[in-house]
Amino acid sequence: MKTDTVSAELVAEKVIKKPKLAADSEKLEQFYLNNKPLLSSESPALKFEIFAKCSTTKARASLMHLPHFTAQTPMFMPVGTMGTMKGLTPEQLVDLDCHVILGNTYHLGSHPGQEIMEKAGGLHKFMGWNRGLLTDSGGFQMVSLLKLANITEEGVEFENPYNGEKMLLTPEESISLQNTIGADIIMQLDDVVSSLVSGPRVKEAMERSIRWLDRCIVANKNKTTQNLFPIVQGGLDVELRKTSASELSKRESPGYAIGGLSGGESKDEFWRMVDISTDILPENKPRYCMGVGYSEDLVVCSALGVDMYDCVFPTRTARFGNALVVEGSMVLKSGKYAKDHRPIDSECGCMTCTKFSRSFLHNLIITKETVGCHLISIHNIAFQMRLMREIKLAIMEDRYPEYVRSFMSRRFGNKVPLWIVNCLKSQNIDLTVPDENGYSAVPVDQDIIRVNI
Amino acid sequence: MKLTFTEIASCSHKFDYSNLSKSFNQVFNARAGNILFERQPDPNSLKTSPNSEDKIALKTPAVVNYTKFGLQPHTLPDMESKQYKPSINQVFLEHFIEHNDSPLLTFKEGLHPFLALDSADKILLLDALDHSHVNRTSYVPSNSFVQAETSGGLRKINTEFYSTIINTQNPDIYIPISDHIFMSISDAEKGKRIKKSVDRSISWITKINDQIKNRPVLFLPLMGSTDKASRERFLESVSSVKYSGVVICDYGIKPSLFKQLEIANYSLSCVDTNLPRYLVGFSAPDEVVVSVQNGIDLFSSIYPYSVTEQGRASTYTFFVKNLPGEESPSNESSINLFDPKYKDDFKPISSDCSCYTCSKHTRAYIYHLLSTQEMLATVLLQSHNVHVYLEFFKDIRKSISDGTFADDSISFLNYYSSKFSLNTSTDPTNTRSLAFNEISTFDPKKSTPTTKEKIKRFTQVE
Repeated sequence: MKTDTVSAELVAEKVIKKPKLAADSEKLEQFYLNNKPLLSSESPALKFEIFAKCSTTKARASLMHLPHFTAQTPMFMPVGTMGTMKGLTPEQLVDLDCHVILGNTYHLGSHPGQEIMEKAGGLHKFMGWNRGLLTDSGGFQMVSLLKLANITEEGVEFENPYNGEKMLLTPEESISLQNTIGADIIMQLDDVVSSLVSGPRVKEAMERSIRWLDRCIVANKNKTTQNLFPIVQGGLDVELRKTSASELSKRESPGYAIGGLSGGESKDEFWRMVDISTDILPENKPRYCMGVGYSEDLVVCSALGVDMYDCVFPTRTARFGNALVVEGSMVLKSGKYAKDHRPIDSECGCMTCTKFSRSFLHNLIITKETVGCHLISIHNIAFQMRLMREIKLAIMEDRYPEYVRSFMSRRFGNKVPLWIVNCLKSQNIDLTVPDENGYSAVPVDQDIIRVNI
Repeated sequence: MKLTFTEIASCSHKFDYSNLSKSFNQVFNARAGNILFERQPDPNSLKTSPNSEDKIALKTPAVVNYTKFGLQPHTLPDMESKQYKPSINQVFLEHFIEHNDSPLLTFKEGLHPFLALDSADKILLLDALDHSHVNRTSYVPSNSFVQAETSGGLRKINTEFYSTIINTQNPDIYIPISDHIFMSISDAEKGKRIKKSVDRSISWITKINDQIKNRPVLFLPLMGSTDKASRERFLESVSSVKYSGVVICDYGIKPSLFKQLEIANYSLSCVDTNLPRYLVGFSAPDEVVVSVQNGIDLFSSIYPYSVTEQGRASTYTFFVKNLPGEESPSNESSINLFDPKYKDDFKPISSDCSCYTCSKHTRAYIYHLLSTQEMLATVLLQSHNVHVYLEFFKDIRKSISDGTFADDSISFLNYYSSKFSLNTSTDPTNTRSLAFNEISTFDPKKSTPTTKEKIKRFTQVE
């Protein structure tokens, strides 16, 4: 574990290196231009082309052509719940190199509502964003936000929090709402059960999710402009996951999501479920692991062959003044940053790091000025985007195992969570054996190692 | 450093305020001018000759950008770069002393890099106390310091501290600390408060002037409050100090605009007319027009911020015109985007506005952002409101230069039914609120319609 040794008296020079974004993006562009896809799939509204495959792990680097944008994967999609990204303008999101962002159907369905969204001509126009968009089904919020949700074969029954009326969200309604929002990728309504639940309910939910998928497929009016992704369910049961993944694969969908995870299950179970899913899902289609966004998870899941991720964490933690760095979170409201005049990360090329010091940001955070939260959000999204560019480049240059090792050494030092060691071993990367740089790791039985610096 | 002001056009019209103020008489004429700011090359710097970037020219009447914690409210550098250049940013030391020892004390490169501002197009004006914070009810005057309020508590700014900050931070212009009076006019006039304020200010200003090593331009606060003799005494006592601009800053006693201009004239009559005059505490467009009529050159951009904080979008222009087909009466100064009637209004705020917000976003979207308490709402509104404010100043400058200011300014005040409307024929049955009163309900220390929920969200534990 690396610790920051800045003392209050230390006054470091403000060292700023040239933004890395331009150089990395250029390299990636060149690679796509100069190479032919190894494998591809084509759906009415999505063309997926795999340009590079890691020779050791299941990782791959691809282009995903969507109606509004061609995204480079593996990619992280920041979450803009209400049709806006926490104070950032669409222009800033383009500057940050975001290819696809998320909107939440449940929230957009209540504000501004389907009628306004219809009149606006969809979310792209409504929010002024002309790159990729993805919407969820709304089902997850039903279950997580509303205590009194009752799931029947027809759909999710819930009480409207605004007027107490009984409401029903059916697969047809979810798709109708998502058709109105008009995102490039839309998600099936699934029967979500907590990953901590076991027993017959998990099987029922998995099977019902498949029946609901078929209703969603029928309901989707915009097959040539909107891609409906099914969601692999099955809790933490290997057989149920396998059944779900193979059933969904028969549907010839443009891409697939892995759901029902990141809900408090142990990480060792989490990665095994992802691993099983990517083994079965068609290789030439994009795979989306829902709700994943910690940097180590992105690196590990990419080794398992996942292409897309989303998570509220980077922007949510920014609102509390926490800046993401490879070692963990920099808690900028801590007094030790009051006189630390270095940027958050001198290697980062974002607007925040090239212009402002930790001391300046500390002052904005402790005074609860909203621009402080915008500046940290910018850095945190830039951090995620940079990580994903590094992952893509490493896969393209077929040095992903080396990259994974160097990442783990920077992130954790010599003590790496056991689940990561196990997962990587399954992908032929053994962190416990020293590499040519002499790096090796000791597994520790801890799912998440939070380092606040 | 050197700042020179040259008047380039003026308006000799004498305005009639008899309907608005019985006692006020116009002394100075409206004028348009040029501010030329020159940075002398630093003798310690490797650069041998000053380059063209060391000169910044600015046309007046102009806006001094108000900042909070060093940035314009809701404005990140990329949004600020869309504003007109060059410009002046006013920075308040009060915002950088949350901890007893300011980060500025150890930041060696100066204010421009600390705030990520380009010295080629930004003039930095350092001040001690945030002038938007008018209601300093707990303010206790002292012989040796001014009392700053931070979220971390009260802090003292004395002459040594302020001089040190000036010496390490290299502002282009500074306003020295002085003993502002924060009480009603009648209380201020009782006893010796005004005399003490003048005595302290004289002592502090001369001390700071002696203590600073580099030579930033001094803007002199015109002290002496409502007392003519005190104001004259103040100016005589600081006559040895070289200053290149004056600041009218009696906002702490909350005078009416005419009262402020009247007492300011006591001082302005004694100082060189070739100094830019910066009026603090009055920034609403109607106040700006009346003040410009009376020879004021610089104003703080508090007004657009106060419009933003209420979820409103400015719709005024200096050159009045009727926009056909507008739903809202165009002689209102702003529209309230919290109003559900905008929920499906997919037009920009103003169809002929060239700001970032109007070129990309609709009223319906901003309504949505406001009603869901999303922070982008104030970002977009501020960008628009500042743009409208800057255009307004650009039009005023053009009007003075073109020689049409007398008519234009009277038309403006008549068109918008503000408290300075010169025509008496205003319909008494009209219950609509006055134009440009957005600022009257604005208190930066209190929550506003756009901040109530945000503050909650910042502090909630997830």
